[in-house]
Amino acid sequence: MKNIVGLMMLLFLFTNANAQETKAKKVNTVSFETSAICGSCKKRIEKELNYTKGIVYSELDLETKVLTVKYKTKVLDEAKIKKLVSDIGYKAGDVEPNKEAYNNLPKCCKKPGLCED
Amino acid sequence: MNKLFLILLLHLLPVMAQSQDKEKQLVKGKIVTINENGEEQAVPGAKIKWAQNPQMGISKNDGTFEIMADVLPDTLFIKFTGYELIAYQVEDPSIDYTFNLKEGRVLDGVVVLAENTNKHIDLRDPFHVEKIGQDELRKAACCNLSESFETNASVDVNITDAVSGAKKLHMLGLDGVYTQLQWENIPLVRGLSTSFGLSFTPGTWIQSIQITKGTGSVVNGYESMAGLINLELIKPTQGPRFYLNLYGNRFSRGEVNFHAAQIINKKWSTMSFLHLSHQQFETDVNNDGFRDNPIGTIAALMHRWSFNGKDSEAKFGIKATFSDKLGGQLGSNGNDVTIPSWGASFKAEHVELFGKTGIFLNKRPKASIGIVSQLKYHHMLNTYGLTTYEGTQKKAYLNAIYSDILGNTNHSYKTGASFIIDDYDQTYNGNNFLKTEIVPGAFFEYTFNRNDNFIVVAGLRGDYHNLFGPLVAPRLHAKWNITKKSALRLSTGRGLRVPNPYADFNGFMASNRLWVVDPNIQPEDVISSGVTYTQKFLTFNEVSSITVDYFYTHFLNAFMVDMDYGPHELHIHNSTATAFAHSAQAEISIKPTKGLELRAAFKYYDVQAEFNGEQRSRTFVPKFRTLLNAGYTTRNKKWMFDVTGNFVGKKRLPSLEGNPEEHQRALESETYWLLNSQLTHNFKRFSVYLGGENLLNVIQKNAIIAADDPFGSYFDATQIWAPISGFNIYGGLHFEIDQKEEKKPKNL
Repeated sequence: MKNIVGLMMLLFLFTNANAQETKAKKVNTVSFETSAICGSCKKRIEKELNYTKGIVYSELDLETKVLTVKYKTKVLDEAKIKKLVSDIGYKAGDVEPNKEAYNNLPKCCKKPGLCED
Repeated sequence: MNKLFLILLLHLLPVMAQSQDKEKQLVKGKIVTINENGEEQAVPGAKIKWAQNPQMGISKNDGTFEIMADVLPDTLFIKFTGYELIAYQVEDPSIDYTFNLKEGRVLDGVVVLAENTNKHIDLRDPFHVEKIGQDELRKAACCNLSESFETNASVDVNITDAVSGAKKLHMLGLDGVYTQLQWENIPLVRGLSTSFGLSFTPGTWIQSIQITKGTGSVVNGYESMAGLINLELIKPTQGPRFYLNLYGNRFSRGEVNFHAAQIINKKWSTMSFLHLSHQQFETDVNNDGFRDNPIGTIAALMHRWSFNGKDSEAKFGIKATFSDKLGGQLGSNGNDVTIPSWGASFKAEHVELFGKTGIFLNKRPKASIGIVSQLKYHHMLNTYGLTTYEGTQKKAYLNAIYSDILGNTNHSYKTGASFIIDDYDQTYNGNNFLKTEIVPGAFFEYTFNRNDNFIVVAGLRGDYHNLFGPLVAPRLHAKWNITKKSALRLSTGRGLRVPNPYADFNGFMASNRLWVVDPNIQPEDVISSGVTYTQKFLTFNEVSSITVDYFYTHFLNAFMVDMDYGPHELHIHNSTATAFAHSAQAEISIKPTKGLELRAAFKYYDVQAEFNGEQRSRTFVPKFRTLLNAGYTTRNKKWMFDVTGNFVGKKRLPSLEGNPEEHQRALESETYWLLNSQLTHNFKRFSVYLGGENLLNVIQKNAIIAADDPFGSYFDATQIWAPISGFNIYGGLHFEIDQKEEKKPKNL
């Protein structure tokens, strides 16, 4: 009996691993640094990305400014995601922000310390 | 002689050299702030300045700074926009200083809240304050303030009777009248509105709630005994430009909430709120012939203005509420006496003007003056069968607060004076009661703060009540951060309250008990002490916490509502017999993975007083309550799911001995589970929600005593210890349009 259970579990593990492998091809996770500054930057980026087709989720860590995006590889790739972030007005890894979008950001979301009196 | 001089000079030289050394000294340190996750974070770009020395500086990228000083000791100022100014007396340059910046700036005792949307307890606060943000409030989308505590363990909400639908808060096992309620430090329900006031504040108006257990600060008055609840309503600069909320439930209750905010310029902004709640059809789930909830309408509106100047700020506006509801037997109409059924009607009009002004004094960088004022008119006309109660309250309130530091931010104080006039005109079954209360008062509160780790707040206030003479309330609060992630708090203090029996216990009119009210009403007098301990810890990179607290409330003078004299009487009088409340609570909150939060709380009560000459447990107070809550948000924040279970312990019920057997009830209630749940789906611009309350369909059987004979002497609809209307299903939506980015004030 125990053997059977063990076997079944092994089988399950294998199929699971298989499933993950195929999944890994369908979805991918990418992380890169951004020029986000405050909570409102976080909200702005996450909201825009989370409602973009092909994105499973996006999370910005305010402390490190690193954005983590899980996406469907069929729809998007890393370069496209960086372009999306750039179009919101932020630096995405090595991609510079879209100038126009950057200019439209509130003052305090552009550079740290700019909110000084 | 010369030789002697030489020796003296030689001795002096090193001293002079030393003092020359002292003239140029380097002070080093680091500036940090605690972020949302309770972690320390360096603050670059903060301005550093001396009070006397001319040198200035700015913190580097890692938060460190170096600044020269010619003369020590001197006061060091650290300034960073959006954070409180720090003023610290530096004496010893050899120490490496660490300064902890706090978000928001303090004005007349209200800490302007940083964006922390969930529920948490701030480890820095000297008071034990639970903060509930908007995310937590949205977990239970319905409908007004009394429904905002569904996921909270510290506050219990109970319905007062089976007719009016009114709900009351309970804290520390004590009736809601012992909890002081205010909004933005303006009195909220006080005087005649204690029983119905909660339904006058719509849930969508609320930005956040702060719950203080035990006595609060003396700045807010002498009244907080079991607790102090402060609401922050949505400010024009924080709210969306346009907000719409629709709600409907299975009992045909529909609600509309509409807000609109306008930022006129950098200084001025304004916001309007409208709330409509209407129940069209009568429902009687428990088949006792009575409406489970009254039908009718509540309308509330508010219009507020904000001014944010460089050295001053002001808020003012108007708030108004109208309520017109009908309860009682199915088909009854409270206005029509020709229909021979037992009806109940609840009418109220409430209008208030409010103003708040804050002035920062430029010459003294930490000093400010705050003035809170309110004018209020409250009228209500309630009928319960043949019983009629009418009350009018006119009120003027003024509170002026001056706060400053004593040398440096280690020592600070608040002092000021308040003035209250309350004019009451009440009529109960043809008997008229008039009273005017005039209460001038003054207070002083000293705060000792050692690096935010150890804080002591000692306050004293004295009021002179025109009817009851001097009322003195000393209070002491202390907090110690034993480690960076834990806080131990102690509090003790006196609280006082002037009762208004007909208004405070209005719901008890839903019976044919004879009210025996002692005309010699005295203020209630309470000593409340407590100890709380909060420990935060990391689980899977997320902050979890454990909180345990114990509070003991001792009544020196208690205002008793005693049903134990017999089933046909209600005795209301002051009592100096032993009366107390023990309350112990333990709560754990864990975030096992991203997006998932689990909360469990257990609460134990032992609340006793003298009833009919005998020491007994207070009626309708459960022995314990357990709360279990699970909330899950998907990582893309599109779906939110929340489920809350409450297990409510047994309550002592008044004896109905003397009634015929069919009109008697058990002396103890049954335990029961209350289960609520809600699912929310967020779209980019709007969100929809679907929820259920009391999903296990718990209904108190035969809740109304002698429901078939409401005009007979056995009729009693006040013996309520569980829900009477069964499960509820509701749904609704939030829709909002944000402020345009460039119009938002730059600091928010």
